[in-house]
Amino acid sequence: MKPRIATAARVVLWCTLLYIGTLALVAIAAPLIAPADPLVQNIPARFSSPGTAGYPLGADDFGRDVLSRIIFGARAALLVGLVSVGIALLLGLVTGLAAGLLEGPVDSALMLLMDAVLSFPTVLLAITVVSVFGYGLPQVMAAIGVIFSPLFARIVRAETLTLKQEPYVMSAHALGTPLRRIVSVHLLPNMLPKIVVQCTVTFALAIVIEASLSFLGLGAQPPQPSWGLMLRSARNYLLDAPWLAFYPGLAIGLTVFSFNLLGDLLNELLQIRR
Amino acid sequence: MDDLVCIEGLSKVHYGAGLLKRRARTVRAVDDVTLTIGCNTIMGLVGESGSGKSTLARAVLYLDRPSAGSVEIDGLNPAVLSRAQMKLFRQRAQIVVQDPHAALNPRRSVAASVAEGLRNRGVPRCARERRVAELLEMVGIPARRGRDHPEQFSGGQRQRIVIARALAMDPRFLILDEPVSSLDVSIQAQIINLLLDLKHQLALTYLFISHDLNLVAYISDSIAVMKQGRIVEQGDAADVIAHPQQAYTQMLFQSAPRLFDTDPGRR
Amino acid sequence: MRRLPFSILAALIAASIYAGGAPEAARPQGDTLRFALSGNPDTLDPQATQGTLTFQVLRSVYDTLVEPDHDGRIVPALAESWQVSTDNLSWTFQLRRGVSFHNGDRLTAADVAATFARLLDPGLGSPHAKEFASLREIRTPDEYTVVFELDHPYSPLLSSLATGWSAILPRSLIAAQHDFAAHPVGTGPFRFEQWIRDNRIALLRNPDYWIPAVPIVERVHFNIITEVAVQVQGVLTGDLHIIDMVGPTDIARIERDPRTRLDTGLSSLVMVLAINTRRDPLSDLRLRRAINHAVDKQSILDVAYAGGKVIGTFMDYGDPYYVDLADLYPYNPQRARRLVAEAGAAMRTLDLVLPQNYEPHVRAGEMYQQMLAEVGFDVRIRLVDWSTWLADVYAGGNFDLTVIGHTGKLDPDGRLSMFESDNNYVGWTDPHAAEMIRAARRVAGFEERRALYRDVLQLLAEQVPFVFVGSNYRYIAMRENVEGFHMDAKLDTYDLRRVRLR
Repeated sequence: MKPRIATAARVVLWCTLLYIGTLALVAIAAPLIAPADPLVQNIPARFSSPGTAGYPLGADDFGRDVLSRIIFGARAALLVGLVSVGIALLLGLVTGLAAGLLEGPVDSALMLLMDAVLSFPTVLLAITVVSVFGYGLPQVMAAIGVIFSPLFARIVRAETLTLKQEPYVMSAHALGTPLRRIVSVHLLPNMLPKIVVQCTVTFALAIVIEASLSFLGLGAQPPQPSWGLMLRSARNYLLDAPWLAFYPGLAIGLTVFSFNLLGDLLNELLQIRR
Repeated sequence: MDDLVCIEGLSKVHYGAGLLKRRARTVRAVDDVTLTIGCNTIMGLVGESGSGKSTLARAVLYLDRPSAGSVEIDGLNPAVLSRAQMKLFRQRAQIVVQDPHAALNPRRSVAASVAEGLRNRGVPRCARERRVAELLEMVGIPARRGRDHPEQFSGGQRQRIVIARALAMDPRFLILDEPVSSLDVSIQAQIINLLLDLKHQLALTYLFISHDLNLVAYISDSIAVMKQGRIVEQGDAADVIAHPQQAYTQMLFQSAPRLFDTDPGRR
Repeated sequence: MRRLPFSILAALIAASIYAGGAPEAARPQGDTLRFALSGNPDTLDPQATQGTLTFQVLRSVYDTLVEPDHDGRIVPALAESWQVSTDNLSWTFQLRRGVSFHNGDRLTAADVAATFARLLDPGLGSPHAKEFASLREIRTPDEYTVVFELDHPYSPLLSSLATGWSAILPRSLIAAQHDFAAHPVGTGPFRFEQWIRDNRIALLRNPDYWIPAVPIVERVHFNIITEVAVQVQGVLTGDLHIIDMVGPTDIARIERDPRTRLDTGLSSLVMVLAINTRRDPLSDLRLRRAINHAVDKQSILDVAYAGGKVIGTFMDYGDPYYVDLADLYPYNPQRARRLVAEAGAAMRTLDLVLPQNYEPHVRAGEMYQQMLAEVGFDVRIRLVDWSTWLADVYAGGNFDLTVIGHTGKLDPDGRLSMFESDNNYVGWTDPHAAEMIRAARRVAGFEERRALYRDVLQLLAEQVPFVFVGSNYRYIAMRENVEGFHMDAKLDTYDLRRVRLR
């Protein structure tokens, strides 16, 4: 049963996957691809415009190669996405399964906690967490992971409650299948599509929040190449060197857009399948 | 004839969810049910939808812990069983559920589904594969189709696979919860015939749940009538059909279209 | 003198980071000078605060006994002249006659005595009281003579008397428990008119000022504008005459516009890369010298601090006590590498702590990291917020390297007294330097003090507890029709007495 979606959507899906795949490759192979060391300053070349020999996308206020910094910045962005989504997923799975399987007061208490976390404005909460535990990418990733775990917990709980009623889960129970195996064989694989969709959307959110926090100076720390941090220093030169803001802005925009689009498309795909 | 299944005073109460409103919505889905089913016989369980038949089935198999009462199947009372003995209980009593579309995990091959019980019993892999093939053939599915996924089978075929999965446990008692109600009439007959054949071959005992009174009348040795969680009438099938004692039973049988004589055919 | 040394920098730089808001619609008025004040002062009581904003306003409302001239030398103001006894223990001031307060009182020696009695009153809890710890008593032999009797010689006294918190208050109002915090009354060129909080402070010309024909403008409005973009917009549209917040990227716009002009001068900040001399391997002088040679100071000033002048010493360029040590450690990476090799110390990763909210320091830090890496140092940047920096780095000494700017002080003692012992954040002292710092406090003559401080500054530069990078330019933008404006870089206050609007 092949999903039937419009050809246009199919093309967009492949473009999105191509972009994300390329980005992942670029991030992994950054040291091989980048034309220059993203940290090396060259004061005489500062503010070289895009196209200058040796600076295809121009040079920043310290004369560092913008292209190389964008390439290494992809590492930070994807790392933040992966780690924070991983943390959110893990926490969300544990709480969601516990709530869905145990029901009753455990469920009520866990969901109350999750709703409390969700009711805070995300970026504000992230800022608070980072202010308490210190600036830096590891703290940002942990904060984003914790903050987004309720999104996963709610999905996992709802799916657990639904799937638990599926006759095949009841049959497995009757067949004496242990709980651990019911979860791993019957519950998780069947909630996977929804989780994957949530992962891609959360991935995009995580990248945005990392960029925001780095822009505010709370995330990635100089001189680490991070798109948000690049935007932060670029805003001083918007009129004189607009490319300093343009390229990292474009990178953030494209990446976030791609992951959101992927999430939408996957969602559509899976709905048709149901 | 010895009794295989003894159910005594079984009740199941559903509590409302939530931290605050626990008391507010309690439902006595099964209320003080006492039944006995003889060895190698079929008991038909009838009643309107919502009368608590499926809840009773789950409670009998201890899929949901009953609120009160006791169950004993082939001498095993799950309320007092150890973990190891519980495994034995799970082997003795199995269930075949109504909707064959939802009864199989869509993400697993049917062979994997049939093998699930064997795996739980600790049957080694090669023996498992052999047995799965046997079981599939027994219910009329070619063994080579074991690799396929549920979506590649028709409703009747899936129900056969579900039956094979239950049989993998070598049960003595099967609860058949509306096993054919979602199938075409012609397919229904095939499945019913398969079930009757299997009962014969494997000396099985059935609790046959259905709202199709003609079907129940056709295959049952005894009949229990359920209303609002209670058994309002039970007895020999012929007696219940011929001389229903309760107004409710009469109403049930009058409203059903008559396909069979009041004297049910026996196998 | 215990004013936080970084407050000015905070105002200058933090303000330039944020932009937004709409320009205030001010009506053009005849002969009203509209001046942008970068924040709301906490109080207008000169004795009760350390806030720069307060003194920027009060400089025009009050006078002091003496004041710094445009070259930073102390000259007469309310005191016409002064003498110091040979033992440096008694300072006699002759007051100017015919000076009156805004409430009509005539200035006499009693007002001066009452002013300092109030400042030293523990009930007031003035943060400046400790500057006058050497004061034993104030005598008033006649109506126009005041004598400060000291317990021990203390030359910085004169500078203290020239700063804003030594403003002279009228005795009658002190006695009446007047609320100086809300309604200042002095002898200054302008009378206080009103203070609309978070909006503006209005001053009115004092026609009886003791300098004839001064001041010139009728009114001064200090419009309180905290956003740099709003200030810049204001001066470009003509709503404001003078602004003191100019971001690095606004410089070109203001210079291009024929209706505005930029007043560029060196600030009194000394930008430093501070080195914790307590810690190995930085306790090794050779490594500190290597660091100094590794730093391209002009490049740091140009890129991180939007331009400035290399000075190489712990005294700003405009200070009378300035010593030219700019060529002591020229940028020389080869020599730096040689020194590192010579030291041969077990090198570890150095902890470079940067105050996160002061972007120029962070940018400088990024450059230091790169420059030091080129000569063989492994430096890791750690950003902290301002309160952490104060507690952990400045007070706690928990750092290897850090970047900061030290504000100017009227008296050299203000900058140098911290090296009397090693109880300072870089952990540096020197017995000879400490002795000279103490001696300079006891002698009163400028030349004698200068000789002592020259040696202290020389030692400080040679021993490299800091890489003295230089002073940045500070920019004040004004309409082209503004004349006669003077900013005192050291006090960070404005002399508006001779301002004229053409």
